[in-house]
Amino acid sequence: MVDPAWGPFLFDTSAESWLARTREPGLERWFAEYLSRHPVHVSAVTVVERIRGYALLWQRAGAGRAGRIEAARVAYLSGLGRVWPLDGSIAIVAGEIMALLPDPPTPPRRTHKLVESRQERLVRWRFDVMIAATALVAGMPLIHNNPADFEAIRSAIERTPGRFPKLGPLQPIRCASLA
Amino acid sequence: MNRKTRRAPASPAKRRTTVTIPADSLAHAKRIASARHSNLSAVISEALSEGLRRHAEAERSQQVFMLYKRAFGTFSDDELLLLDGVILDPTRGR
Repeated sequence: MVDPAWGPFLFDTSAESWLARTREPGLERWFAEYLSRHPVHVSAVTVVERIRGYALLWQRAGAGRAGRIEAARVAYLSGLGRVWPLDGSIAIVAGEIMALLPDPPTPPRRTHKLVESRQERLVRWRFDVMIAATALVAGMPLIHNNPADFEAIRSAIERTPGRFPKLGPLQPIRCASLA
Repeated sequence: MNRKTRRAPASPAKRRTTVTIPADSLAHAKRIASARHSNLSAVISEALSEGLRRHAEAERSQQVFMLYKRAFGTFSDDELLLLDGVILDPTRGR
């Protein structure tokens, strides 16, 4: 259980949407309580991923569906909280992490009909690194739904504190453990 | 000798009104005013402003919550992966 008053927290891309869609009453209450106290902090990288996602869905949609996708995109942007830019400090930390962990810790995603390319997996991994670097520099716990990637990053930072002076530790918190 | 006229900082316009409030709240506010060597109007204004601020925050929270529901609620799980930055393409031909 994480008290929403301990915020603000930085939300990873998938955490933001997961909390918005959860039907678990305790987590819904947690998110509503959090929103009454703090804005949702996200990295600019999350906005990149999100807007790219809406745009790709819109391109693939028929005329009727495209309008609903655009309405969802407008709703997302209207509710957007604090967006952290990718500044010099975050870029330095992200570069250090990428050098420590050049490859994603897990293979590309695959379903029975669809697959993520190796190139897209690498892009997603690097985006996750930038989000973790943002949380580290901002000194905020990172709410996530992707333990494989963020635990690997937390562990690498813990093993090499000398590369991250006056920063850390990274505090990843899984969505499911919030309430 | 030139003297520059100093203007007092602008304060919000004030209006006199009559309200009915619980007697115990009124007594509490009077005690606070007395302890602070302030007046009753100042204490009630401060409490009202704080209450209105909290009300506005709660409204904003509810509004943002509903915006999030609208932003993500209508998509399938596969579409959500795309919205979360996971780009999946058909496996055929790979």
